[in-house]
Amino acid sequence: MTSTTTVTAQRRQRPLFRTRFWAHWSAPAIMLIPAVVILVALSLFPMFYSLWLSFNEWNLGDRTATWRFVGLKNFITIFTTDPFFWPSVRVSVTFTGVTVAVQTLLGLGIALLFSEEFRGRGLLRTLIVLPLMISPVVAGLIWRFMYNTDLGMVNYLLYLLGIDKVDWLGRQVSAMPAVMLADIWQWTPFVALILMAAIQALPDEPFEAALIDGANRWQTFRYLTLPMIRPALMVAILIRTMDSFKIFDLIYVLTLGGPGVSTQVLGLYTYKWGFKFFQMGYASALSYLMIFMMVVFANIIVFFMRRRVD
Amino acid sequence: MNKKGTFNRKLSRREALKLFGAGGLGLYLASYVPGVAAASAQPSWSFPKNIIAQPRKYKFPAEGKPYAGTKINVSMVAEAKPDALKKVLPRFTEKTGIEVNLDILPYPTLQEKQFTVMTQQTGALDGVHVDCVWMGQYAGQGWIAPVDDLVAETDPEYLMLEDFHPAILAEQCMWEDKLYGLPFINAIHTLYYRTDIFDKHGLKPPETWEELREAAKLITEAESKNGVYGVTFMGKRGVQLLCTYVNFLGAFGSYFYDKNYVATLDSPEAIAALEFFVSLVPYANPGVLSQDWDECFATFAAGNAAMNIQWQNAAPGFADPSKSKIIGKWGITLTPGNKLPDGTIRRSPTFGGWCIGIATDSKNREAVWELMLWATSLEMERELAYAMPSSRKSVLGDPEFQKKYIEYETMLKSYDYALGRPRIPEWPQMADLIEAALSEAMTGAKTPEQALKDVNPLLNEILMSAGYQKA
Repeated sequence: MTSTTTVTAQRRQRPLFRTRFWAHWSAPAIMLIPAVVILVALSLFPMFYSLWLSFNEWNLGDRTATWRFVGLKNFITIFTTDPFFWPSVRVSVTFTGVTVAVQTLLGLGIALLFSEEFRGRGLLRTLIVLPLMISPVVAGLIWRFMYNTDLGMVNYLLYLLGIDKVDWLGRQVSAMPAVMLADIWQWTPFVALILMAAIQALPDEPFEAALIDGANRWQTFRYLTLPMIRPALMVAILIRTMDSFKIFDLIYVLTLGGPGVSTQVLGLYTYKWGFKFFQMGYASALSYLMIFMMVVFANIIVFFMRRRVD
Repeated sequence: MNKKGTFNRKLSRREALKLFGAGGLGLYLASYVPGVAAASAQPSWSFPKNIIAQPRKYKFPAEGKPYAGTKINVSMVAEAKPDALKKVLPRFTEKTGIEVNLDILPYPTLQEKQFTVMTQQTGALDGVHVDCVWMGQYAGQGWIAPVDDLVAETDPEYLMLEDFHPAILAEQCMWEDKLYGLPFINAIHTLYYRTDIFDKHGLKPPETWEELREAAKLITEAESKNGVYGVTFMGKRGVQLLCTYVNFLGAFGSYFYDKNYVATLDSPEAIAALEFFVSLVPYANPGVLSQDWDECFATFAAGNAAMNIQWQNAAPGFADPSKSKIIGKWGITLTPGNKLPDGTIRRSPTFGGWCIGIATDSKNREAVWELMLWATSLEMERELAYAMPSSRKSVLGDPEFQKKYIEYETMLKSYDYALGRPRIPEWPQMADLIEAALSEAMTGAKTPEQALKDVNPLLNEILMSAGYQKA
């Protein structure tokens, strides 16, 4: 009894919100609460929910079915008997590798070009970021129309050059490059934009020193510009790799994974298991494998990023 | 007066007295006396129809507005008929007081939207538009409920269930001998051909697939320099490619699986069907393998192909001057088939179509039924025919309509041969595998034989693990 009274008395003397801890932390805590709530509700909860789901079997279509724990069965099926998992991984990796490489090179070139002063630079710089402002689905529809064999722009231009019609999205050999080209068109400006900012922020002194030492343009680029924009370059590559690897919308609009399975990326394959076949556990397992692969790739890039900076 | 009596409840006392005064009652009662009734078998006088009403036996279509104020959510596919329905919905609301929130979505995203809402089991969705191949998923797994009880309470003269084409009802609305809804949008594959090009080369519309290929070859060789190719179809990987293949599969004498649920796509007949299908690619327009419905439509409407294997629902577009350059230069007929030894032709035009069903968890079953009844009534079927064909025999067979919509006659004939796709709940998963295999064969990544032999065991695996096959 006595102790309770003492505690109450103490509380009365120093209410919770008057403690030194709270005096210091109350404002930040209150301001952080919305962010934390949103993060937990929209990121952490679904993440753990789907992690748990990936160890279960759950057919959304079955009215009576509940989650049935199956341990690693989904993962084992994916690795051993699923005929389309590895082909999809291969397609995704190829797509990511090619598009990111081309986007980086082109983006770097454009950024270097725009670091020089010339007439109309401002206008061109605005124009070049236009593709970024288009939603990927709309971009996909535009390209789908341009690739149309009989009515499309691409074949019309080839026709002017005297080249026969090509069914870009309908043939095994051309479908993948066609999809890649659309992605490259849309996201090269993103890389260029980041690198332009990085180049503009570079200090003048090293370049002046190099000029005095008689370094040529290539040497200046190789030993000054490139090392100094390396962090920005790596960030651009990192973001693009993650985006490219989880591509869905563009492929969905352009080819739906066809012809055959030649453009069936992992994201599209996972979507099918979830929302066409309604096997939620299996789809979760697939998406976790996708995340796992993405984390591995990202860490490799981060590793390179850190090594040189140190 | 007795409430349940033969007399209309609204009959006022004064009017009734007038009637009695006229001797009506005497005649009326006398008619129950056997001798008198026989003597006056053909009465020269009878009660005016507006005064005597039949006792109301049926609950639907409801009189008065018992469901006024009910709000129902209905989800439908983005095609011409739901759009047309949406335009006339205010009339339905005026008539019944039921408010309809009609959500129209494109086909690729429709099912995932419906399913994710329905599986919450909250009744947020009342009416669902069900593709015939989803019947197993929806009816078989209990997401929509049978409507037998509602049919029993409905005025048969208004519903006229037997007026719907039996094949359409069976394929689109029935599951395990129970009726789950009413048909709204029906579709079947047909063959369109260019009458002018056929006349020019002295050709007749092909009856068999062999004839079709010969005609396609001849036309391609003669006309491809003018940009006109023999045939066009939907060759892009997807559901339409699969639907087109059914036209061949059945005609060549095979199906996706046999009655023991053993996949039969590796059978010689199925392989021959695909080999034949692939052999049409050289005589098709160059872009055929990236064509979905829209592109295929555009090719034929632009006059770039002499034949088109396509759903009948492209016909209104081909007749529309704002979309078509071939007005008056095309005809429509049954999809070809293969000649059997006895001389008959085995055809298998692909069956498709939609049913409006009522979600099991809906709390407004009666209101949805009212809407379904109204939307599929003879009156509305005739009115909405401008958008898409009716499912009723009386409309499809009406000479006036057949003149106006030239596809009706072919449709009626085609239903005798129509071949549906499997409707088991596992079908979407199997269809995806088959679509990939067909696409591989069409683009030459694999031979037809290899593609089908590769996919067949995968289908068996699904059928086995779903418990259809005995191990």
